[in-house]
Amino acid sequence: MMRMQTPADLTASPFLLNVRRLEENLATVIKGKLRATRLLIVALLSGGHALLEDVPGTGKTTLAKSLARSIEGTFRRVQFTPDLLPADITGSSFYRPREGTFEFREGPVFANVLLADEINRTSPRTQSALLEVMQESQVTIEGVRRELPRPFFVVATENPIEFHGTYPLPEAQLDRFAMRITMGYPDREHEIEVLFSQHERHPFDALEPVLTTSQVIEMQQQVRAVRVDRSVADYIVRLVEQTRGDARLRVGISPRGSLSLYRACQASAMLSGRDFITPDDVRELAIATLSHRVILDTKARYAGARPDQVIEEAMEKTPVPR
Amino acid sequence: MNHDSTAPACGPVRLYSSTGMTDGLEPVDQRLPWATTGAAILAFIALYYSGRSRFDGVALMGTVLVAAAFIHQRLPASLVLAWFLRITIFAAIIVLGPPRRRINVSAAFEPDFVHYFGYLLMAELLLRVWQYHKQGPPPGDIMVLTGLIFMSATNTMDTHHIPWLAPPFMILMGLSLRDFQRRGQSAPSHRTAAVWRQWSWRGGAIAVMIGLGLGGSLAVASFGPSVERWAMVVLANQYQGREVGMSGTAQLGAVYNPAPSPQRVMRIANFHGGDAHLRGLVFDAYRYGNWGPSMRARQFFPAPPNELGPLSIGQRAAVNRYDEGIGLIYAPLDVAGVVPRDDLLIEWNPADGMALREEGSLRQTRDYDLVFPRPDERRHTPLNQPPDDAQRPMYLRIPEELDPVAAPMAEKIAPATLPPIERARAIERSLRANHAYSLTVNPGEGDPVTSFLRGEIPGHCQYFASAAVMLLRSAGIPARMVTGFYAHEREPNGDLTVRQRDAHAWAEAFVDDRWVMIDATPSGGRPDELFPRISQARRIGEWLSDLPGLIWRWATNLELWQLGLAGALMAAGFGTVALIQRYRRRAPGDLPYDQPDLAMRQLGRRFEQLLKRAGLEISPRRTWRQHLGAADAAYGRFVDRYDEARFGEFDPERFNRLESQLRQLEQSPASAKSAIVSTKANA
Repeated sequence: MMRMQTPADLTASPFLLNVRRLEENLATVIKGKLRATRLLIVALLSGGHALLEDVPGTGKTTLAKSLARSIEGTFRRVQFTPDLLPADITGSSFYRPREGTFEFREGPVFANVLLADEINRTSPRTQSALLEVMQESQVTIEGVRRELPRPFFVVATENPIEFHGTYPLPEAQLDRFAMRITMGYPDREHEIEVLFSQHERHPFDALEPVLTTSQVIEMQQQVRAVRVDRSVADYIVRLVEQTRGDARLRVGISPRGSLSLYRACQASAMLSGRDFITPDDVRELAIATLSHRVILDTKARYAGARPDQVIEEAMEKTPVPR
Repeated sequence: MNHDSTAPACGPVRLYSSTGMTDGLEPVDQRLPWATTGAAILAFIALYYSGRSRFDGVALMGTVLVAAAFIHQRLPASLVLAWFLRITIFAAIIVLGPPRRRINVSAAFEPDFVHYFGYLLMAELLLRVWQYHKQGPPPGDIMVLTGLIFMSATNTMDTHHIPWLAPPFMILMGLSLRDFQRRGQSAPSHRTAAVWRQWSWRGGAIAVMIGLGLGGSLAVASFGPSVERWAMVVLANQYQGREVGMSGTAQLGAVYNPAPSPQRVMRIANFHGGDAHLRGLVFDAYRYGNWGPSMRARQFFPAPPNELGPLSIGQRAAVNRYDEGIGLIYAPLDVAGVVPRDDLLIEWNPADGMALREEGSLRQTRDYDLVFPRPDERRHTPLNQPPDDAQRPMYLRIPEELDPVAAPMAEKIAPATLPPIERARAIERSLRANHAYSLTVNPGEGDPVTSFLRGEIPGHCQYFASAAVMLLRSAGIPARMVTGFYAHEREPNGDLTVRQRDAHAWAEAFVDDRWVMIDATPSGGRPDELFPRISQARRIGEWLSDLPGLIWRWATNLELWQLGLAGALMAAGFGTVALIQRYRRRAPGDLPYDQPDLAMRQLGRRFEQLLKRAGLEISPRRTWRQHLGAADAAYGRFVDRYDEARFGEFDPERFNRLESQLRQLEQSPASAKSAIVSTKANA
């Protein structure tokens, strides 16, 4: 459960003002998904990438699209299909016979927000093309390194891996997402609202950008200034260490995972109007940031263990600083 | 030290620690720096060895106080447990106390135990004040403790404690008034009551206190004498009266149930042979139960350096003497030499039987050697000098009211036909055989020695000694009365220990050109048979109090390499302790993280107490917010503020706000219950 802390000086801080504008904008399209919305914003502001996972039709793509449109920047969308090739994403050089030269044509990754829709429907080869892009915000094509625009934010959506026609994402790929966000079905009230809101036309069409790219960059920098007490950092590391020693896991959580949690906590604290993070932040974000990084061994999987449950147990075993 | 993740460009980086805070209330660690701690302990040790025994307690308590800063986290927090411990310790003191063979009194009321109890409570009081300081008024248990100390101080009639105790007692009492309101759990009505009502409560409490105090003092003023008389009756039956011990005078007055004081006077090492009579004061003039001259009337002169025999080469016994309040030096009659150690100066009193005194030293222990003569040494040892012509009539004088009784008796017991030494021994034997011994004596009207000689009253050693002197004088033998100690108590290592209760009196008779000791007291009245054995608990206590001196003596005799080795061992010990502490910090139950400083930790602990009191189980693996739920806004706000002060940038103002917030919560624990109830309902 995400707790909303409403500080008294909500209107005072331009950061919070921006966040609220963004949230309100998204709320016109996505009904009753406050937590998912908020986690997505946390991922954006912490400088990571988000993976939206749920069954089809729960609004993953709509949420990603709405966020992209709310930011005034370039937005590209790639529909991942089994026959998609790496060059289709990163871009490739074309021969121009008239001039006798090669010209590079940028692929969809050259954007501020990249929506990788149904990412697990393409082959691992194409998925891996995103590795460098996501980690380093740059592309190397034919030996030439090309910088991507800033901010660069990948929102991927996927169906749960048990579904037909999906390729599971490789571990290295999964680890590069700061968070995995599940949507879930809306409750009845909100679903009725969804029906009525699309009575005449989709509310998405009326969506206007509320943030500029430079505002997003500034907010990302502010997030990095949030104070982290040594004890809380210690808590994060202990939590992660707990998973590394878990016998049910084939792979524990990498230091990249703890860094993602650290950044996510900073962003979340900022969203709550604080300039420091608390153990509560860690606990709230641990499952979203960590559960997609652990790999259960086969025995545990068949015994019915779930990754989020493993993280939950790790939290129940780690003392909390206070 | 805390790690701060922010880059230096992003605002000032302030560490949450005790350093760098300049203004406002600083939640600093209450431990003193190492150097200060060391200096304080040294100062207290110096005070302990300054020789003024009345500072002993202060020094002890001070050391405990300083040490408390280190053990303080390990003290039981629960009041119930603390009281349980206290009662157990007191019970142990009573059980391990001396056997109540002769004295028909509950050991709980013995002055010694009330003293121990007082010290115990005082130590705990100091710890508690230390624990609570900076956190508002001391709670009610502090006042209860202070009251008990006060009681134990007054019970032993140690009135000199009272001026020290009364002011803090009053202050603490005043401060505790608030607390009593806060802790009244059954009647919360006044907590939510209006301000004027709260003040009327406090006013009422103060009025009751003042009323009790006034009433008490009025009662004492008007019924004082009768209460005192009643108390004296009770005391005479129940309680021990005057303590038996050495004093500067010798009087044959009334004695009720005297208390044998086990206070140590001397410890004699290397003393061979059996028991010994160690003479202190010598008296020659007797009148109506009083022996003179008194200590004040005597004239002491510095003893000529060679007269006390520093060059004697016989066997030497080493005496460590503790303070007994008079400053006398005790030695057997036939000692060949009394040789002071260190810078002790000895004075003597040649006019009145060669009593020895040390000259104005303030040290607690005075050490000297007793040198015993070899058989071939001179006949007149320093203390055994024949009386001169001026002294001789004094040693033969008998008060006229005694003469009609003593002269015929002496003639009957010791006929003039016998040689002088036989006469003296006959008198000694007769007194031992024919007179009753009792420590409790009421001589009634008239001269005590006369009544004693007539067999009308029993007597204690001074009666026997006085009677012997009078009979000897009647038989024409110069005699004098001596008070001192009868040394008999052997330690396991062969040392002799002499205590106040070993005080004794005997006579000295001048026969065959030298003084001879005549102890006419029957053996059942001698200190070795009269009193019960010293309890084991007391022995352990004495050993502990001697320990620093023993260690010091041992250490000053060490070689350099031995000292080096000791230093290395000590360093190893400290290292081990440090390792253990490091391990302990990681032990389960203790949070493994960088801890905030003490003031913050205490706030946290108080908050957890509050939650526990409301019935919550606090797990160290969950945050407070998880325990609390979102039910009670006030509690949630406190946690917000706590996090702010703990994990955010430190600001003294934040800490102050936090503390006042906690105090408000503590004053209304009812809301905690509602919080918990609603949390459980939510769950």
